Amino acid sequence: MSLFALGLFTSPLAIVVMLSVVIGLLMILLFGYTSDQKAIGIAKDQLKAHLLAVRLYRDQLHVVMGSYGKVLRGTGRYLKLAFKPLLYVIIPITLLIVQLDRSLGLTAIQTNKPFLLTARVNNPQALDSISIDLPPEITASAPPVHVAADNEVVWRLVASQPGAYEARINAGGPNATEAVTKTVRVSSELARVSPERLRDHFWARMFSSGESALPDNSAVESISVDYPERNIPLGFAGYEMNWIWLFFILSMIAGFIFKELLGIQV
Amino acid sequence: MFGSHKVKIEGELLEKVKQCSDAAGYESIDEFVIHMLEKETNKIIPPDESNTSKEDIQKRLRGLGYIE
Amino acid sequence: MSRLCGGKSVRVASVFLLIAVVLSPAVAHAYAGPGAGFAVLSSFWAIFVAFLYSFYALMTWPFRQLFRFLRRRNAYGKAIFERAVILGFDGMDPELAERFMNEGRLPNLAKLRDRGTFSKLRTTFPAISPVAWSTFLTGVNPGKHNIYDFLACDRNHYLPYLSSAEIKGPKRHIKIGKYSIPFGKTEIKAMRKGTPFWHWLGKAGIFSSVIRVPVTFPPEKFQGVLLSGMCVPDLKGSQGTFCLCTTRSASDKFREGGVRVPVERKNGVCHSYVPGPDNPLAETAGHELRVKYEVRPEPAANQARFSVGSEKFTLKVGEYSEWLPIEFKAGLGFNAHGICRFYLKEVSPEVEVYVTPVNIDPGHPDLPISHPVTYSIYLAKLYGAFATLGLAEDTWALNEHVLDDDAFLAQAYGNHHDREQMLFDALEKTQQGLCTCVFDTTDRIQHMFWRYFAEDHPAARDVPKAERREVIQDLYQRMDKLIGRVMEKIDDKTLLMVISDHGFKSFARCMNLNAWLHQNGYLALKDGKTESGDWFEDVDWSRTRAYTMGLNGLYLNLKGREKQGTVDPSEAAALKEEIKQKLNGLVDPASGTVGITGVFITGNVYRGPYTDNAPDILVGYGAGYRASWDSVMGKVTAKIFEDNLKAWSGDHCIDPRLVPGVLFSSHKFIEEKPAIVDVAPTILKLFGLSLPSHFDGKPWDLAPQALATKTPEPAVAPAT
Repeated sequence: MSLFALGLFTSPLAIVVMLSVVIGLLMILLFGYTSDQKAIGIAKDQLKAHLLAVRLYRDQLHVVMGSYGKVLRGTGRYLKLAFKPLLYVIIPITLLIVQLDRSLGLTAIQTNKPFLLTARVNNPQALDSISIDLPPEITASAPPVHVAADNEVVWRLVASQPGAYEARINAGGPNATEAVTKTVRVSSELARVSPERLRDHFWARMFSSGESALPDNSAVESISVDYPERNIPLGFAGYEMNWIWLFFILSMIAGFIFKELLGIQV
Repeated sequence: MFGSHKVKIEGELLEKVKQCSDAAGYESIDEFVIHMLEKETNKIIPPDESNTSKEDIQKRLRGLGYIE
Repeated sequence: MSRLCGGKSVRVASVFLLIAVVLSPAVAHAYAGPGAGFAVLSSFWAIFVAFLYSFYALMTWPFRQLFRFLRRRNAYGKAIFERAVILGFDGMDPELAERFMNEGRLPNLAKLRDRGTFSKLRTTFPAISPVAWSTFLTGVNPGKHNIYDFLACDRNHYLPYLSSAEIKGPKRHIKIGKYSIPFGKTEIKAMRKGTPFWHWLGKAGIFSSVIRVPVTFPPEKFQGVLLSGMCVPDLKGSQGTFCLCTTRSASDKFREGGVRVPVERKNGVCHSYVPGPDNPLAETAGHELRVKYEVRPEPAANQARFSVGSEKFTLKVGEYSEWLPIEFKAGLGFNAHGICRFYLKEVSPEVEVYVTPVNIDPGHPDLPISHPVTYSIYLAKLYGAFATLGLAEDTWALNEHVLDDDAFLAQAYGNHHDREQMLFDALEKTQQGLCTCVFDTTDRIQHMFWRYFAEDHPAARDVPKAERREVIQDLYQRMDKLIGRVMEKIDDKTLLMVISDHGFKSFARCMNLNAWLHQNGYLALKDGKTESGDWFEDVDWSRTRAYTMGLNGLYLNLKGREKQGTVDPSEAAALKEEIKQKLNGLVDPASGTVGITGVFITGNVYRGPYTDNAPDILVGYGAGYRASWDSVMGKVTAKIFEDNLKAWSGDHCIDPRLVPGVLFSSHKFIEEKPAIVDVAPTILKLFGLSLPSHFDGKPWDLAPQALATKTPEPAVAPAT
């Protein structure tokens, strides 16, 4: 992300806070413009009215039960009204979360700390001939482990220098014609990483891979690197939190403030 | 702001208060006692009249359809 | 992939999001940004709270039912009906009702007449709404409830004050910089005495829904819900101050009822404001709060675009906006919340906008207008904002020609529609107990449109008969249809009563009683004066023995009571008798008609502890007459009688014997001369309650056949 490259924000917490505020504002505005504000206002008011009816007429069971039914129906109506703006909001926010997760959800590999690289192949025979070519900055710290049940080979590796490196996997088998690569990102800074490279599975690639698809004729189905999950320190009492949940909470707070300020019905 | 205060009336006085209250057409002893106290205290401390200007009165009555 | 922890969260969240969009919008919202997040949280919150409430209600219901059962054994055990529904139509006239029934215009009222009761309902002395409705709800005469008119007399200053309630701001203020911060609560003192009969019902465990019954402000605590009616002020503390915003230069000003506000035009955009209450933080009174707004006229389309705060809307000429929330900001977090409607009068060549009086916002009431406070909020949330002002129909705007007939009717029927919604909600919610609702539309429309109905009213002499609209006929027909719809909602276990507080007559001639008192030597003016301004400005009290203020009351200038009293209490009785004799049967020289048909000494017609506060004499004008506009305001004019040229052309503040109300009921009562004071004891009796000893009314008996016909078959046929 160019914003990170500018070096304006190097703390993940500051980035998440800033993103939450900005996205909170944008999403509220988008929700406001794409929704039927009047109808949502009426639906919410009616919900409140039915709740009040339960209190006002609490000695009259038919009113209490009737109002409860109306609350359920009203909720359905309200959610139906929120559905259309949701569709407008959902695509950009989904793509945004996916992209941000590449940087904020995972940390890059640290130097001198072992990590695992896993390759999965499409046939058991390929396991016999599979090998890995590593750049000089990355070395294997143990022999590869073959997990025949899953058609997987796992290498335990260590990086000596920061940088982006390519690990080449050579797999044998009838369809194997050339080697395939997987980027390994080694850094102590905030960095954009791709935890796996996939051969197919468009949706899976969309959500978890930042790299191009593996060739169809390769025996290798996927190559993954176990980048550690990033927990963002909250700065007090040693609490940490996954960025998505922090983003969810902060953007809700920001959204609440902006909806009040802008008078948008949600 | 002003709170409330309870006064205990009993015996002969209570009986007299009941009789007077009923005879005058009060709904309850409470109403009778409050009205009597209002009357008596107004004699000693007249009601606050700081708001009684013609302009204020006219403003408050404005819109009452029956008067111009 | 289980080892790819970092990607797991996002993948799960993202896939979940997309699936959720398709399968479950409720869950999806939580991941689609704050807007939708709120939606789902709000929904779950609503369901959760409703569940908690319902759970609580269900769990405690048996205990409460047991408790109620123990209490109800006394009340419902002897109750003849499970429910009483009382529809009040302010000013519905029995003679007109009978005439229209006979013409076949009122089929539902005719059904009530044929199967139940139709009778005149004796009203109070005087026949004025706050007096009559106070008697209705307390079951006592005015001497016990202390309401004798809209106005009461301050005998120290010879000035009027509102008889129903007194609102006093906080007495203490703390001065901080330029602000004077009020400290303490606003005090609202109810002047009406007596206990409404629904309180007695409540004490016996019988629930009541009470909607817009006059003189129920401030609302009192009881078992039930209540929305206050007539006498609720607007946000300015008045009984309704409309506002005319205009680009026309002010050549005249309104005498009462409204204010004129300039509209400034700049580059095709007009700027004006809505005047609000005085700033509570200002050190001195008179610093009015205002809310600015913009109008962009579009003459080609005969419309204008409005921008009021965050609200933006377009109105055609002759169109009203909805009720809009409007917030007056005083600073330091002191805000006043009101609602008003805008009406576009003209866009070219001039721009004119009428703004209704700023009503207290029912969804955010700054003063209590309901019991519990949440009841008005409930109604506002359920149906949207509605008029809360006591006299919500802007009769003065029509009198002043700020509104025309159509605009006034649209406003009146708009309010009426809101009231109908509240009634039907109350009917649905109150399956047992009391449900009562008063409609003011009948009163206001008859006041303002009698000129077309009367044969030769001075206010409509220029309007050819063929062009006179049948507004009053239409009004009665509309009310009849409403009654029909109510009849569809009730069964034979419900008693339906349709009542009015008084009837109606033409108001063609005005009588200035102060002028009569002056010309007959009872009221003296200062030397050199032949007339007096408002509120006895030029009256010489040292030589005055009697004066009049308000609609029917005449006061002696009594020593020891009035500040400058001249009449010795020992002479009072004789003086009252003397004035009575002279006034009774007074003839209007212009027409030869009797202008005053009854004069009543209040000591003879009232009984009760507050009789001292009443006027000394009540003047009963003849049909076609009423106290003049000037006389009511303590003005002394040269003329005693004059024509009434205002749109306000019908009235009832006359001899009460000439304007009884109506009584219809679904079940027949045996009572030759029912009176409005009897309603409260009748309802208590029908619910099997014993009657408080101070009641003045007598309960009516049901006819034997009414008791016998308690079958599932409806007492009356559905409306047509």
